[in-house]
Amino acid sequence: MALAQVARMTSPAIQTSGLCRRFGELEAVAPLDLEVRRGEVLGFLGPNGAGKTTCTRMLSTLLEPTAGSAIVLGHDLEAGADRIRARIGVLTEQPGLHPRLTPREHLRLFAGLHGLSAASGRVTAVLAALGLSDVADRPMAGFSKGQGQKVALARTLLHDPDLIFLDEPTSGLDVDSCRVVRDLVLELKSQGKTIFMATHLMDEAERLCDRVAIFRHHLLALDTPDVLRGRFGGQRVAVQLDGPPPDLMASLRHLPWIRDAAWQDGELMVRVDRPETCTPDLVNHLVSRGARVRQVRPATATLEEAVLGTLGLTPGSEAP
Amino acid sequence: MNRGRVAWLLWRESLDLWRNRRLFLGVVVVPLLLAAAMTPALMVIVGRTEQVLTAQMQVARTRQEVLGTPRVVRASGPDPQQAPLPGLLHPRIAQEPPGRQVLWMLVFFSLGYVTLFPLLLPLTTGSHAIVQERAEGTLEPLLATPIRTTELLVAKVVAASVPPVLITWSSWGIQLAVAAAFLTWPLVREILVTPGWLLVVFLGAPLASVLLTLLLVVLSSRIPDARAAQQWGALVVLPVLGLQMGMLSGMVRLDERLLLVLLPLAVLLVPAFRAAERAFARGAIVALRR
Repeated sequence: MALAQVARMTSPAIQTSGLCRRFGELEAVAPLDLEVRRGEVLGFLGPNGAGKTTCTRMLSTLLEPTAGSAIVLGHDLEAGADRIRARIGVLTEQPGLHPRLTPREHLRLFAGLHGLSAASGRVTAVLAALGLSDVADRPMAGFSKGQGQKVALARTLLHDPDLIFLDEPTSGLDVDSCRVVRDLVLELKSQGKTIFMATHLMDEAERLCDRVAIFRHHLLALDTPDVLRGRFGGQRVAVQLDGPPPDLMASLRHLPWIRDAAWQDGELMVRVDRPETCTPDLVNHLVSRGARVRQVRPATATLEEAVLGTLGLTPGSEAP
Repeated sequence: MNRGRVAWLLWRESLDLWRNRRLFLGVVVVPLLLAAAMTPALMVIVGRTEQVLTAQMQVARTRQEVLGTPRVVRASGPDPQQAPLPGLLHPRIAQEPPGRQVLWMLVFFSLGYVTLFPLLLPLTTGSHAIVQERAEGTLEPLLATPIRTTELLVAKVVAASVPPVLITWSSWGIQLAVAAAFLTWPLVREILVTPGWLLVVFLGAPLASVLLTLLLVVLSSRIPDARAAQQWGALVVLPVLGLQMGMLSGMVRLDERLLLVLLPLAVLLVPAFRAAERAFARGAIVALRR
């Protein structure tokens, strides 16, 4: 096996260097340095309009970058675009399905475009895998959004791509369709596929992703959900109180080792740097202010809180 | 170029045309119906009055000979020598009886209508295949496959221009058949199956259809809305209308000299295709959908 081929197989699935895209005055994606490992599910999180779709389009060769470079599956994004396209699957934000074609016709078309030799067999297999066999020969016009998304997913996976781009894969789907899509992502992950998933759904990212990139025009953070929760959400202590004194919050915020304090679901949620050393001091302070402490327990931030914290937002606030 | 991929796209385009009732009706059914029904209907109506018209003219001519008052003659009906329009269409038509001359004028008007098909129909097929598809987001999944811009463009141009060309040829054939049925085939052949008309139908129509589709592709890179693209594209009909007016007024005659117009247009295909290729590049299309 040629060295170049070995290098291609062991290199990261995606590696970008200063990749950026401008639309006139707007810098949708600022110079981006990102590495996506082979076989991982990377969640690309950010609010609407953050540049996630632009980034996905650039990495999937649909949109030329204004500057910078990227290596995707061992091929240069510009020079090797044709080779990249043969090995990636892209689920676009809009399913992009023809209402007058049937799912089978859609898949036959894309099998033909990918040059699949045993096209019909593969088409039938993918239709069955996504539970579309019964509706395979009906025109798409009467399909629900969930069914349409399944067809779009079938189209994306038809040629067994190594790297799969999913742009908001569960957006607008009902609970059952979301479950199907999530199960499929987990199945693909178990097969060793690399998945780049742009989403603004924290729950989805938390359940499916090995690592999460928080992005708003710039890459703000990149790590596992656990580390991000710890790093950006901070460690928290949840305290149940009977009869809290009226000026408690103000007094807490003056303490230098407390980063934040808020009421959440009837509990006092206090974010501190080191809970193991701060918790006794916190309890002492609360008792000294006349509070009756009923229960104290450690609590970690959710990924949503970590993301909002990273973006400089508080829960419930709008993106600036 | 991978012909297999082009063939798959053409398969999809033809399915779409066949199943899209509105498109099929507008591009195939209505033009053919008009060609097959409108002219014969008019011929029948006018044909019935042909004898009356001829008799009126005979009376008028007799009156002119007897009374020598041309003012009365003009008031009672058209004199072939005073109304030179049919003669300007073709010298042989002037020798036909007056009623026949009117039928010949109808034939020429109908053929003028048919020559607009290669320009009018691609406005619908082209804007549907290119602008509308892009607006509906169905182009993006295609662009994520290994298909090349040239292959996509060739498939789109063929899909958008072949139906209008086939409809034009069919309609022209129908017009000839109708003319032969109501007039005489030798004269129809002499007047309408000429190098000029053959050039218009078999070279001009495909050329116009392809060029207009390419123009729509270029326009679509600036105009994201199918209707707006149609409106801008419709401007190209104006020169052809001018040509028809020239024909009817006798200023333009269709003969071999038409090649002097068509050949430069054929040469234009290459830069037009290159421009369309640039406009249809992945980056350009997707950036417009941002």
